Amino acid sequence: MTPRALRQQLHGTGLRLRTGPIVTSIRSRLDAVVDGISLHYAGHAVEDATAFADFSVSVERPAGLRRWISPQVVFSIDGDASFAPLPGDQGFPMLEWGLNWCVSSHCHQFLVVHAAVLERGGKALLLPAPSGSGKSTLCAALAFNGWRVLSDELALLDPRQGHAVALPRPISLKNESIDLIRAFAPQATFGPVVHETLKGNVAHLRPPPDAVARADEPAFPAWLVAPRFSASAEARLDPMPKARAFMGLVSSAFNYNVHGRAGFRALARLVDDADCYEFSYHRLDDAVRIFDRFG
Amino acid sequence: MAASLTGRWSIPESEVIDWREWGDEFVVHVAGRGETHLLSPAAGSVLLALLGDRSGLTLEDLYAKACGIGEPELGSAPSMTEEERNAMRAIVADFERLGMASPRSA
Repeated sequence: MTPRALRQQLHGTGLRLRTGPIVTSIRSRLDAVVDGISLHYAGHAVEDATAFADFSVSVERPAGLRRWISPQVVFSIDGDASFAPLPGDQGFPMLEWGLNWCVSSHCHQFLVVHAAVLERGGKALLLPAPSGSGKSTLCAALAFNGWRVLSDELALLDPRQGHAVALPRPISLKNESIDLIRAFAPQATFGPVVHETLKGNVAHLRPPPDAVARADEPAFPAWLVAPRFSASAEARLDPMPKARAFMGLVSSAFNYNVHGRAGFRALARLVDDADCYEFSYHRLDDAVRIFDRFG
Repeated sequence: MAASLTGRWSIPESEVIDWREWGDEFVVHVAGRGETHLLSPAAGSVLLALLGDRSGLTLEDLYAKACGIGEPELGSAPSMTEEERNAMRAIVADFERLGMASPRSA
């Protein structure tokens, strides 16, 4: 799609962007959002304007003086602005956070777990972890060292079949992780750093082409690893008791309770079939070397 | 209700319990409440005893089954130390609080 056509769709009836199994109609007149989509979603499929969209969202300036004075941006879904406005330069991060909210709050055809997912040799590596654990940093490092990214933030697990479905979107990096990955993976394509967001300084990393091209290839989780970045820790991989791994998954799942018994059984089956570990690390070189042993 | 020595305990008839055991740890899903819990090995053994006999078990019955001692004969229940008795009471009280066990009239 040409930049002009992209801009026209975003300004007009909406760009119907496919990310894995989800189609989102996106509208925005903000240059930062147009540029962000142009950079990060250049390889993604765009559906016809008449295609069904799971979500219809927009990121726009609010009405009134805040369009010009200390400008803000507002994320809306189906015309409803459910979130507090953010400073005007945070349009693209707000789009990404809003899309995360859409998926984690509404996509109940999946068990949605706060986890990165990568794949190698047909087997998926699940990295469930809370914010600040180094999950996205590790995910980005592995994504440029032989692993295919299925998702950086939200693992979509099919509760009946058990596989993870790809949701290839930009990898969100924060603060020190930005320069760390810039140095570690110089071939990575970054968007601009957005300063002083609620999460600190944020930059998005364009998903590798392989992740986008193979978005329709699911993978069964074979490894479940709870990562933890520690400035003082040598890289260390320790087996984790499966019951504890299971409870960690439950607490990381956004919609576990929606699935009831099926959710319990699906996560139990996943833990049955996966090798479970805790992983602490400091240096990405060490981390990549350890994960090279998998598979 | 505190777990007494004379009462009988069972999983509520209407409750659906799913569980999984890995090593000596258990996780359990209580469908009625939509809650999931991690159980200690002792609590997991008591849960299995309750699941195996939904007609109602005394603390002695539960202790015997959880320890794999077999059916205690009438009047010859396996002896529990005071510490074990307190632990059994605490487990059953926890189960009652979590909706996994309820007292039955004898």
